[in-house]
Amino acid sequence: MTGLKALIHNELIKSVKRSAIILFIIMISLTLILGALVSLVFSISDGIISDVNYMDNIDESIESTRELYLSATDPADKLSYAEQLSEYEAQKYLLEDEDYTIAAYKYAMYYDAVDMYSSLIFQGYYDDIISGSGHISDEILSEYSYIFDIDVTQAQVYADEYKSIKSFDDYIDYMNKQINSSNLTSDQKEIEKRALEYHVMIDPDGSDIYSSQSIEQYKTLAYSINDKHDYPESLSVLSYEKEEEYRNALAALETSFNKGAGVNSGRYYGELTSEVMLSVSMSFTMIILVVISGGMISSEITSGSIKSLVIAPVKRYKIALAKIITIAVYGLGLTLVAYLVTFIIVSLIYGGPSAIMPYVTSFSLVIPGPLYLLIKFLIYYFEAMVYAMFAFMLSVLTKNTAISVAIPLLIDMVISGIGQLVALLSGNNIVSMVINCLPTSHFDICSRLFGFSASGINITLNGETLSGVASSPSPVISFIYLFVLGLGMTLAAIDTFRHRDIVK
Amino acid sequence: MEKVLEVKNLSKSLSGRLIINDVSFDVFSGEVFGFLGPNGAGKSTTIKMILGLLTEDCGTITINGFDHRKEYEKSMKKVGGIVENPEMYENLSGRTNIEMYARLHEGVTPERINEVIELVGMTLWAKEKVKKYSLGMKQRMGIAQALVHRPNLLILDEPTNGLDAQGIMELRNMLKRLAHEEGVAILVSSHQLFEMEQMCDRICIISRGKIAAINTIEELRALGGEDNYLLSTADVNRAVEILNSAGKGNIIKQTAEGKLTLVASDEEISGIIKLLSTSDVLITGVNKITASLEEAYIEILNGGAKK
Repeated sequence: MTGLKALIHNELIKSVKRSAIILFIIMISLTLILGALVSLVFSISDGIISDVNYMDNIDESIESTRELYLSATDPADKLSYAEQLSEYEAQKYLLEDEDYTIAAYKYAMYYDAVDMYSSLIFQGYYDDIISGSGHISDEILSEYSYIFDIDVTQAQVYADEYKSIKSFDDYIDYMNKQINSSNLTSDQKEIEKRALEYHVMIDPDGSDIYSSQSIEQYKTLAYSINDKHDYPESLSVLSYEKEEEYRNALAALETSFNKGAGVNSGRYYGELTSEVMLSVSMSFTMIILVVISGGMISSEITSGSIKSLVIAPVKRYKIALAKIITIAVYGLGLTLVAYLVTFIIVSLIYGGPSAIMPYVTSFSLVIPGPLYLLIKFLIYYFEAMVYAMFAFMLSVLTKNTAISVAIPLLIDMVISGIGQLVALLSGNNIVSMVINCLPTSHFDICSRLFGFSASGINITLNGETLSGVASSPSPVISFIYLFVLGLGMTLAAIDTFRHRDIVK
Repeated sequence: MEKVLEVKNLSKSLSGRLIINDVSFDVFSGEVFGFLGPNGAGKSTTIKMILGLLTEDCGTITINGFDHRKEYEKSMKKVGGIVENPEMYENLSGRTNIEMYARLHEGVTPERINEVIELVGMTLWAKEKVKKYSLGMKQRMGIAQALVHRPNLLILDEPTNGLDAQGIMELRNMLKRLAHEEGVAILVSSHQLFEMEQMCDRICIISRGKIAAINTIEELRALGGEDNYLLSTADVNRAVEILNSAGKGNIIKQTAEGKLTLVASDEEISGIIKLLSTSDVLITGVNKITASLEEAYIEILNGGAKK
């Protein structure tokens, strides 16, 4: 590859243009401003929107669910409404209390109550099945209704105890004491201790009230296997198939804990902020790349400077290849800068670099967090490169810089416009609209590939799921399609440049 | 003399029109080869094909023994050239431009870059951005760039464009020196006959995409006819009489009131002057009229003479 290195060296010197530098500075500052703004909005919405709006919603939900529960005749329906109802009420307790520590305890106690309540209903359900009526008797229900009364004084005591914990060691000691003084079997104590270890691992500073949900999930599965009871579903004896299924689920959960991926963590807003910041900076990266690559061949042909390149003893394809490699290097550099800025800002605002790690609600994350970040990085980078290669191809074909830059940007605007339209039609609120307006958010390849939201488009806020553009039926096909598209345009550009007359 | 550039049966059509029609010529080391023709004759198109800017429809170009199409990189290794205007990257300095060009060639040292910049007298301006340059300065920098890798084939398309009289003279002397002292083969195109006459050893006249003639300057002059002498005398009739009686009536080309035009060589004319003055014909003046290259050129363009 003689000459290629020298050509790339020259391209790097040539393409440092004032316009590109200005765009780059705008990109960084806009990213910073937006990141700060978004995190501000989230910190306000966390306190206000969720408390005010969500509380309105939850009262309505409780009311309607209670009615459904009372009117339901089918035992299975009645049970599911009861579960839903207790879930809502627990959330209400959580949101009403300003002290998260107390709220967390109330919630945990409530959860226990819900569990007991559910099992009792189940019990009643089976009793009635046995007695032949098929209905849950009101007596049974009223008998256990005391469980709803939460002992606030006791919660306060627990909260005070919890507050006296000053370090990790204190916390572990406290929890171990609780476990040891309980009347669990040694196997069950083992499960509790392991759950505690995982809890410390995924939520080391105890600031994350949601992490207990994952731990609960873990414990439920472990207890089911240990006690040979199907706790998550029927409470009956665990079947062989179910046991197999739960063992796999437990292993997946353990893997995700061990691989350091955030699970149900408070990193939610951190990731969302980083998504918005990345969307903006990657949009700018794309624009900068399109501006650079759109003018790379055509501006040199227009000015005539291409002549000194062609006269040099290098093959034509190397000239085009050097330009493409230069674009790729710039793209990589800009993407790295975008990630670095986002990473630093999100770390500063949300405390610690783990804030940028993905937020996952199910067992589906079986790849380590850093690998997930790398994949996301590559997808963003790849997407920007597809646009850049399109501009480059147009630059060779049309020899016109304005057209080569305008068409890719126009197409991008149309695509994100469609995204906005879809969001509008599907009745989503302003947040999804704003997110969909961001030019690079529409691909969302990650969620298509891995089945969970990576781009923050499909997010749940205020109890409402905001969905982005309708996803492609086959993520793999669309990924291959984009790859082939990018490669095809690159090859077409090189081939056209090889055979074309440079001047008239 | 070594054959550096060989062009064989070259043809090229642009938008359905045959621009270059079966052009063949060779350029040897140590000569300045002129490419002469009116505007639109196909000079630039041929040069662009040699420099790889246009692809030939058919025919072969061989440079330093390497086929242009099959071994482009090798064939272009020792070629320097400027097509039309020397276009450089306006936002970069002249020196940076040359450095970038030099990077694409092997073995160009920073000293060599200084040397060529000094050669074209641009040392003071080398660090300025090209957009501040005048056309003449760009032309000089372009020549410096074309020379930086010590090419043995230098191709310059209308190199005197934008140069002042002094610049043209300097360029002419530089090209002659490069060819005659350093053995560089130089292909220069121009539509100005006078310029070509001053600069070139051989001239190729191209017309409507075809080679009309390839001659040395001397051959061309000869084609234009012998030198003429204009004699001024008060007694034209007597002079004609004397010449006729001396059997030299055939050299009389034209007679006019007080003037006599003769076709004769330098040796002949001194004899004639002696003959007339001994016969008491008063000669008041003798003017030599050089055979017109222009005549030959026009005649060739009109399809008169052939190589």
